[in-house]
Amino acid sequence: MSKLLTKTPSLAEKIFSRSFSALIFIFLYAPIAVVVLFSFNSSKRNIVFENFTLKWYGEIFYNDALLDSFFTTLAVASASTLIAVVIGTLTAIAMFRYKFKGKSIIDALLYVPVVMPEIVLGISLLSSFALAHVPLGFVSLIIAHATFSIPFVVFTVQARLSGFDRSLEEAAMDLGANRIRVLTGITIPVIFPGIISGAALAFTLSIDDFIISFFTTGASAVTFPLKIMESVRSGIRPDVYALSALIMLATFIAVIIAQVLSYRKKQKL
Amino acid sequence: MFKLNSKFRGKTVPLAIMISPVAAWLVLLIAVPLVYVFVISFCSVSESHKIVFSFTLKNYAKLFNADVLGVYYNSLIVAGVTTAVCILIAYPFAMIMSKANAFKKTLMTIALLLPFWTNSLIRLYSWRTLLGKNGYLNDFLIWTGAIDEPIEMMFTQGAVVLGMVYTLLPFMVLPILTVIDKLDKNLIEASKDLGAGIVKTFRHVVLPLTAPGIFAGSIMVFIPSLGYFFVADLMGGGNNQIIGNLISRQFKSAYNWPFGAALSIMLIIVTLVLVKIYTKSGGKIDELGVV
Amino acid sequence: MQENPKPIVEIINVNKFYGDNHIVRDLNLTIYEKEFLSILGPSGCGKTTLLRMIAGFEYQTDGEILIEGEPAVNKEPYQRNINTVFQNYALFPHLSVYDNIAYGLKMKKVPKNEIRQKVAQAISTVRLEGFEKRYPSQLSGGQKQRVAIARAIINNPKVLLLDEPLGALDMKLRKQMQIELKSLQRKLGITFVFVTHDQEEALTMSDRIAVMNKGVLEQCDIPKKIYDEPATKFIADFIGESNLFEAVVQNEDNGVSELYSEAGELLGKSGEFEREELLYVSLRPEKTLFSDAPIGGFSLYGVVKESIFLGNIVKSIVILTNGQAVKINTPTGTPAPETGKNTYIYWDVKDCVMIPAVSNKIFKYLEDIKYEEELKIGGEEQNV
Repeated sequence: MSKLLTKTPSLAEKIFSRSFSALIFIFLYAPIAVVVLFSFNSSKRNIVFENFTLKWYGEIFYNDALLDSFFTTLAVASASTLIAVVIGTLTAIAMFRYKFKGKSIIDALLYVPVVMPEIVLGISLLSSFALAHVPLGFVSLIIAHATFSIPFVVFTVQARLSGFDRSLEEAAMDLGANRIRVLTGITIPVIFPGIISGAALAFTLSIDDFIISFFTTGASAVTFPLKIMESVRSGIRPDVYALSALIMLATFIAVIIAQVLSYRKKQKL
Repeated sequence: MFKLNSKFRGKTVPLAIMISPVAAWLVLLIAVPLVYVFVISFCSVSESHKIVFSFTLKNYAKLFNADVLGVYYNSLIVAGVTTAVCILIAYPFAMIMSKANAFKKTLMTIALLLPFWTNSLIRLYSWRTLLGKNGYLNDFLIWTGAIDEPIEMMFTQGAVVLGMVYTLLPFMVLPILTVIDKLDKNLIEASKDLGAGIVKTFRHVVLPLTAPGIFAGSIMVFIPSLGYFFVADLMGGGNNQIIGNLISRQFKSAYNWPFGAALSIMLIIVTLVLVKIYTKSGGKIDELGVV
Repeated sequence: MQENPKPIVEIINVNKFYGDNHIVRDLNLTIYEKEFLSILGPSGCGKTTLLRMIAGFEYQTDGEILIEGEPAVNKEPYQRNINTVFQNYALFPHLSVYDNIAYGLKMKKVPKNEIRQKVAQAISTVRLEGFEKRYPSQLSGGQKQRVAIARAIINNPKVLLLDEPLGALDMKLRKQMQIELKSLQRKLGITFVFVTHDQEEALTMSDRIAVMNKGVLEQCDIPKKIYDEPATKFIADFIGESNLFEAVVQNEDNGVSELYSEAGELLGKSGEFEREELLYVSLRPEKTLFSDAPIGGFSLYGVVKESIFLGNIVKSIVILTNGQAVKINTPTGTPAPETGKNTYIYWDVKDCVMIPAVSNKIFKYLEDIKYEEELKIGGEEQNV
C-alpha cells in the first residue's frame, strides 16, 4: 500500500491501482446498471433479462400512485430547499459577521442533524408533531426536510464565506449602499456559488431521504423513496426502475453541467 | 451614549433579523424534540398505546432484555464489520485518488459521489438481481466452477454488511483522502532517508498522520450503520435486525414510544461518547460533515 | 494650501478601545480642505483605526469627530461625503470594471446616461480606457489600484481616504503611482488622507504629515518641519536617520546649553530647560561632523569602524567610547577619516534638535491610568 506514495509507480503498482479502482467502480455502478437494464426488460420480474422493451417508460404515465409520489418528492424538495436556503444563508452570514450570545448553542444545534443518526431526528420530530397536534403529511414533511437541510446549507455557505473579504462590504457602504443593498448587491452575489451548492445538497438530500420521511409523513404525502419501500413486499415493478433510470439520467446530466460550468469559470478567473 | 446608540444601530437590529429564524427553528424542531424524547423515555404507555406521563425507569430496564441484547449484538457486528471493510477498501482507494492528477482526481471524486446523489433504496433493491439465488453472481460463480449449487447470498448478515458498505463508502473515502492530500510527501522521503523501509515508514509515519481521517470516517460510517434500518430491511429481509429496526418498530408498529425513546436516548449517548472521544483526540467536528 | 484653510474633518479628544487595548489615545487633529495629509506610523500604531473612524466603519469609544462641522456619529458610512481606497482595493469580484466604478452613482440613483458619461470621464482620469469590460481578477495590481481610485473619486467626495494603497505594488510602480496620486489630488482639489508606514512616501507626497506612535499623535506638521524639527525621540528615529544622544543639562549660556552625556560633553540649543533635566539631542548624519582635534564644548571621541561609499556620499560609522554608534554622512570628495582612525565629532549648535525626554509625560501617564480605570468602571455599569 505505502508503495503507492512513492514517486514513480512501477508496472505492478499501476496494474494494482487500475484494477482496484475498476473493482470499486464496478461495485458502485453494478446496481445502477441493473436498474437501467431491467427498466428495458419485458418481464415483470427483475430476475432474468428477457426481451428489450420501452413499454415501462410509457407505463409510468398510467401509474398515478407512482407519479404522485414523484411530484410529492419534487414539491417537498423544492419547498424545503427554499426554506433551508433562505434561513441557512442568513444564518451563515450572521455567524460570519457577528459575535453574539448563544452563538455556540446555535452552532451545536446545527451539528445535531449532521452527527446524530437520522432515525433520532426522525422519531423526535414525530413525537413533537404528535405533541403539538401537527397532522402528518405534506407540511410536516417539508418542515422535517428543512430541519435537516438547514445545517448543510449553513456549512456550505460558511465554507464560501471563509474566503470572503469583509472590506468588500465596507467598500459598498462607503460608496453609498445601505445594509440591505450591501447584502443583496454584494455579499449574496459573491457567495452565490456557495448558496447554489448548498441548495443542490439540500435538494438531493431531500429527494433521497427515506428515514426521516418515514417517520414524519402520513398517507396523504408519500414520497418516491417511501413508495419504493412500500412496493418492495410485492416486488418492484419495472416502471419504478424506468422512473428511477430517468431520475438518474437527469441527475447525471445536472452534475455534468455543473462541473463543466465550474470548470469554465475556473478557467475564466 | 453615542457608543450604545451606534452599537444598537450597527449590529443588534440586522443580527436579530438574520438570526431569529434559525434560532426559533433549531429550538422548536431540534432542541425541544430531543428534550421531549428524553421526557417520554421515562413515561409509560396505556392499553391504547397512549403515552402516560408518570415517571418510570422500566423502559431503561427493558434495554437489557435478552432479545433486545441480541439485536445490539447483531447491530454492533454489522456496524463494526462495515467500518472495518470500509477502511480496508477506502484507504488504498484514497491513496490511488491522491496520486492521480487533478483532472483524474476530480473525475474519480464525481464518479464516487454520483451514485449517492441518486435514490439509495432502488440501488439497494437491485442487489437482489445480482445476489439472488438465480442472480448473476451465482451464475458467474457456477460458470467459473467455484461452486456447483447456487448459494443464498441475499437476506444474510453478509448482505446487510454489503448494503451498509455500499451506502456509506464515500463517507470513509473522503476524510481519508483529505488527510492523505495534506500529508507532506517530504516526510515519507525523510523517513526513507533515515533508513526506514516501506512497511516501517507506513507504520510509523503514514498511518499515524492519516489516523485522524480514518477516525473521522469511522465515526461517519459506524454511527449511521447502527440506525440505517432500511438497509437491514432490504438486504437482511427481516432476519437481521439492527438497533434502527428496533427503534423504528416501537414508533411505527408496536406503538411503544417510551421504549423507543429510551432506545434512542441510548443511541444518542453512544453517538455523543464517540464524537467526544473523536474531538478529545484532536478531531474537528466540522470534518464530520463532509458530503 | 490656500490662504485660510477651512477645516473639513475635526477629530477632538478621540479615544478608541478594543477590549482592554487602547488603540487611539486622546487624539486631536484637524484636516483641512484641499490638503494632502499623510498619517504615518509603524504598523499597529492606530493609523488605520483612525482612518476607519473617519470613514465610519468604526466608532470612537469617546471623543468626537466632526465632518464639515457636524458630529459624524449619527452618519452611516454611506451618508458621509467621504470615500475610501482600501488597502487590498476591495473591488467587487462579480462586477466588471465599469460596474465597479459606476457602483456609487447607481446607489445614488443617478440617471443612466449621466453615469455612462461620468464613468467614461473617471476611466480617462485614471487612464484605464479599454478595460471597462474586464473583471477584477483579470487586472494587474496597478490596474486594480486605478479602478479603486476611479470608483472612489467618481462620487466627488470632499475627502478621499487611502489606506496604504501602494503597499502591494512593486517599487517602480509605487514611485510612479506616488507621482500620479499627488497630481490627481491637485487636479481634483479634494482632501486626501493617506495612511502609510513608509516615511519616504509620506515625505514626497504630503502637504502635512501626522506621525502616530502607539495610538498617540506625536506631531503633525509640514514635511520639512517633521524632518528638521522632530518633536519626539520616536519621530527623530522613525523619519530618516538620526544620531540620538541622551543628555543632562549642565548649564545654559548665551543661547547655547552645555550638556553631559555618557559619551562625553556636548553642546545643544538653549531653551527653557532646567539644570539636571534629561533630554535627547538629535542630529542628522549629514549634520554630524568630524574633527581631528577637540572642539570647544565637545568631548565626543571614537574610532571609525566602517566607511561605506554610497555614490554621492560616504557613510561612516563611528563607535564612541561608551560603545554608542554614530552615523556620519560626508559628501564624496570632502576629507573624512579612514577606517580604524580615531576622531572627534561635533556639530553646529543650530543643526541639532532638542527633544524633551520625559517632560510632562509622567503626569500624562498617571492621568491615563486613572482614565482607564474610570472607563472600566463605566464599562461594568453598562454590562449590568
